[in-house]
Amino acid sequence: MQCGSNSRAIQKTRGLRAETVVTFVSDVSTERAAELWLAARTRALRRWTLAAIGAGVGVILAYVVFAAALAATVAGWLLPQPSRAEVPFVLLMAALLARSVCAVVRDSCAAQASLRLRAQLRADVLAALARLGPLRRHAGDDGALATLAIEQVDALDGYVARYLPQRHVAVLVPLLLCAAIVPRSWLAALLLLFTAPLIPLFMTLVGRGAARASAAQALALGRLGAQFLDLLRGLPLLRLLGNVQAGARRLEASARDYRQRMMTVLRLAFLSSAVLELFASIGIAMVALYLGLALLGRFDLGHYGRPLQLDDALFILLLAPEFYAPLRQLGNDYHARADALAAAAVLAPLTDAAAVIAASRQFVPAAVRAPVIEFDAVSLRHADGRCALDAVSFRVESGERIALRGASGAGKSSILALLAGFVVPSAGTIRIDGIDLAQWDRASWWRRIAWLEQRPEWFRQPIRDNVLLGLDTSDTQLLWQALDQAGLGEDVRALPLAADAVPGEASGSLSGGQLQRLALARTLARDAALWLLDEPLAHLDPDTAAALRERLVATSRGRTVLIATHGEADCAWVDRVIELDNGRVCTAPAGRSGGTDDESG
Amino acid sequence: MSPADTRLRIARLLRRHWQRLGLALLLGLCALLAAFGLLVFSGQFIVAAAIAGSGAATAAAFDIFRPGALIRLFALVRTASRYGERLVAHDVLLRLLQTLRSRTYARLAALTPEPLARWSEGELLQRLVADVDALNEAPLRAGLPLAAAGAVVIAALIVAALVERDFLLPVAVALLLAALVVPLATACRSRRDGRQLAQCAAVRRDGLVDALRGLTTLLLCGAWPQWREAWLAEDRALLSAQFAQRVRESLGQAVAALTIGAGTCALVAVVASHDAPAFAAPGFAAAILGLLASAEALAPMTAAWLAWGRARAAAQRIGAVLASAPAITFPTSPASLPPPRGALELRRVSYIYPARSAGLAELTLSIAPGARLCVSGVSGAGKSTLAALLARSLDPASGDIRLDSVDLRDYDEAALRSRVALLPQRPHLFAASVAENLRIADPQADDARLQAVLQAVALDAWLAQLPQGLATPLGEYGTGLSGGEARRLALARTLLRPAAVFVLDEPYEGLDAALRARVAAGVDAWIGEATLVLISHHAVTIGVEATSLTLQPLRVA
Repeated sequence: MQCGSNSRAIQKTRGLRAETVVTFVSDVSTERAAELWLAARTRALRRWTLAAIGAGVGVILAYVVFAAALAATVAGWLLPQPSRAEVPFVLLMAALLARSVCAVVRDSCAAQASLRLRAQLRADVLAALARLGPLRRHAGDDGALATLAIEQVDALDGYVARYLPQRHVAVLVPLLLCAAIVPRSWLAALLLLFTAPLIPLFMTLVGRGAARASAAQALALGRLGAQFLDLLRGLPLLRLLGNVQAGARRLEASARDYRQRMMTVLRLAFLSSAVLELFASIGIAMVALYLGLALLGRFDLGHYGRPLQLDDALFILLLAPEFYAPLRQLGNDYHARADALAAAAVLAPLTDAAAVIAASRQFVPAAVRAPVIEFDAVSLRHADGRCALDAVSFRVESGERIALRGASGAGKSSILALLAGFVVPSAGTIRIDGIDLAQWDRASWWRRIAWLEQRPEWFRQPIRDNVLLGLDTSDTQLLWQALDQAGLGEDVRALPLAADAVPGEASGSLSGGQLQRLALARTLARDAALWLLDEPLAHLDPDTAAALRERLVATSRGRTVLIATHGEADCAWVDRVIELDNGRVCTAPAGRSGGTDDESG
Repeated sequence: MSPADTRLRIARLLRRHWQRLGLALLLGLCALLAAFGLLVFSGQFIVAAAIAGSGAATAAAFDIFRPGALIRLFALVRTASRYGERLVAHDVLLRLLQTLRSRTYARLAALTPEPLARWSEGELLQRLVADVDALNEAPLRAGLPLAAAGAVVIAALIVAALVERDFLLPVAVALLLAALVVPLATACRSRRDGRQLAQCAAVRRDGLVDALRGLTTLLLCGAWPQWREAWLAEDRALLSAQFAQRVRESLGQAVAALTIGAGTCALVAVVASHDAPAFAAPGFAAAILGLLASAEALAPMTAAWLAWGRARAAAQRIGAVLASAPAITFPTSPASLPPPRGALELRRVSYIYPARSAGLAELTLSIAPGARLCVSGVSGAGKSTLAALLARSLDPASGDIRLDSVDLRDYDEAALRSRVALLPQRPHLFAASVAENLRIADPQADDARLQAVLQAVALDAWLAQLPQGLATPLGEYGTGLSGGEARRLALARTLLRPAAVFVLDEPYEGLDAALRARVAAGVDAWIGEATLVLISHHAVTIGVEATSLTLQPLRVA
């Protein structure tokens, strides 16, 4: 099978995201899954799709009226017959107008369906990302996630706006046209039906070929585009390595290779649409010949015994091309389906995975003090079966500061994510102040947590808003107090716009260390009782890290703190170190703090 | 070079494929004219048959074989030429892609590292790739449909003129409106809106990336719902604008179809104004059907004009990029150079970045052949600037740098690259196999040498667990590697260069102390007699006789 060799070729090359998607789609069972997901998604838009189909049928009905009127008028002028009633001229124009109006209505309804689907889906993607919280990193970096929410969702446009209605129109229109032709000549209708042996057969024929062609083409172009970008990004490096020609050669060779491979695929793929084209042409030719013979009186079958009239013949001839047009259009739109399936394959896992967490949470805590945390045999399994945490138990007293130490993948981040409630344990219980975390009202629990990670979280808003985020206040005193405590006050005062400067813009360009201080200032302004720190100093140079650590030590007193780290320096200032290895708590060698080497890097 | 000049070059590039493009155009025309002919000729045939059929004598004499054969011929020609056109056009598309990309690539190579490096940060490169694609599609999406439509319009006019001179005016007006005026107006409007939409889309994207960067904080602070609603409202507004644009384009198409229809009606009216059928009735049917048949060729006009506009804009942007001047130029004729030893001398070297208070000031330094120098200093002290200056990715604003007593600016590029190897701070890993990534630095290296260099950077264990060993492909941007592994792989690649001076910018970032010591020892042993300039936050032991230099940040008062 063609698909098989295709996907092998894909697996052989590197794991670009787009390619894995296409590999996914060329697999029949997952294609089915993606299609089902799409069908479920588009069900809510049925009204708009139906309206688009209705208008599409309206287009063809108006054309039937136009053709009938035109045929009658022309025949009337050419071969005047006294018995024939004259067709009013306005009918022609009215039919034309109706056709155009229906076409606009059809496109508008289809576009409206697409708009609604995409708006809803984007909201769902955002909701999914929000449920994942810091764990979204597993789904990709922020740029890739933005692409998912924007471009991948937009990739469904063609499917909903064109393919979905056209799939029905392509079946309905030929049948309608046959019904319009039968009263004048059943043989002509039969000829048309015969040349389109079975419309479903045609559709699969066209669909398969077009899908294969467009999928293969999109794949090749996408891959070449990705490679081009890759080589351009690496161009400075190639020049440093004195080997710019390597890139040029690679570009040339793969383009030639792809072209040759593509052309063999396309030669076959275009054949299926050529078959349709041939049937369409032969159909029109046969109908024209039959009509000519019947008009000459040499062929007396198929028009109910009476002589065929010129207006009947012209009418049938005008409709013949329209008989095949929707099928051809469907073939053109088929690539939209391939695009949509590819996008669905990426979107479905995200939106489905996010639907997991929903529990009854009503406990609203009264006291706002540093919480006591208990992990009671907590296990966490990833969706792929890997074990992140294995029966972890520990207790953190109110106001105790704990370092979670271990190699990457030891389960430090999982513990923090569990505590913030972004994942639920597969087994075991987490208790906060003696109450199961699952019972806690999420929003009020979140209000008590501050979160700092490697990459400082900041926004392209004035520093003021960055610090006072989520607080219903613009208290300047609170702002400066927090900034000063975080050790950023001096630096901000030195900026021309002070607290109104926007980080990331020319007015407020801040270094990585300053941005992390900004995040700390936000934490201090909110006066959170539980601090979850995920290697907040890992990306900073030693001097900056040491200065910021000093601030952390000073400002975290009286709060419950969990800091994930792999360095010694952070273990020196905390009250206790919990060693993690491969998802388990090690029996920690007591007092192994105060390392000799400055190890924050 | 002016943008217009570059555009001409791109036109020359297209010209390389003119034979195939011409063939595709010819086949496309054949297909369209055959479809046109099929309908026109059928109509004429039927009307002639009907007229002949009304008299028994003429009916018997009517030759049905010639028209019949012609109609079948049209049918076959149409199918075959459509198939041929699609094949040839796609072949050209892929061939064009090949030349267009390699030409752009070669031109851009001259612009590295500056200004190209600056663009890699943002979306500019991505846009450049998209622009090349837009330009590539121009013949298929704009050129061929426009040419085909032009041919069909001419054919329709000829048919009309042959049948009856009075038909010419309504047919010409209808076609002019449907092929030119309405699609062009729609395309212009769409393009103007499109620019605005693109701007809104960029704002929307930035907003999303900004929020994703701080998603956890937004959630915990309770600011997420408010932000989400604002962003979704922005998104809905953009979707609505897209919707309006689509409706407008549909309206344009409807109006174009309406003009064709109105033209047909006008023909009927012209006939009505004649007293009797003074002209050949079959010809009249042919004219009407011909006009209707031309609608097929005119349908993609709006899209074709839009593609045309896109391609032109893309060509301009590409031209502007290619026209920028390279920051560094190398002498083409090499000076007579001493044998490489690896002695470096810096005399009062300064480099200050515009708009940033970072850089180097008045650095004087002498490094003996085979020496080990460790450069440290806080961020912004000019460590990476020094590295870039040593590899001549930058030229000093004042002062000079000598390698083996020859000014760096007197080395031709090949000579300099074979003497100085630089590991930049963020080295790029290609979406290629491990071996391919390594062999960029030394195409002649055999597998044993690659394994040896990987061992020197302590990646031997990592290599052993790779499924296909050296042939294992790396994902885009080295996905599948941890940050430390990626850095060490890039380090190994730099070490493969046959250089007398190695400049390594933060090679041990993200490694723990034990591993760092092991890699440092491996590097020291590997480079042997060559000079090493190591730039690092950490003070590391990099050899027995290492000297260290601490750079102080510039303070601009």
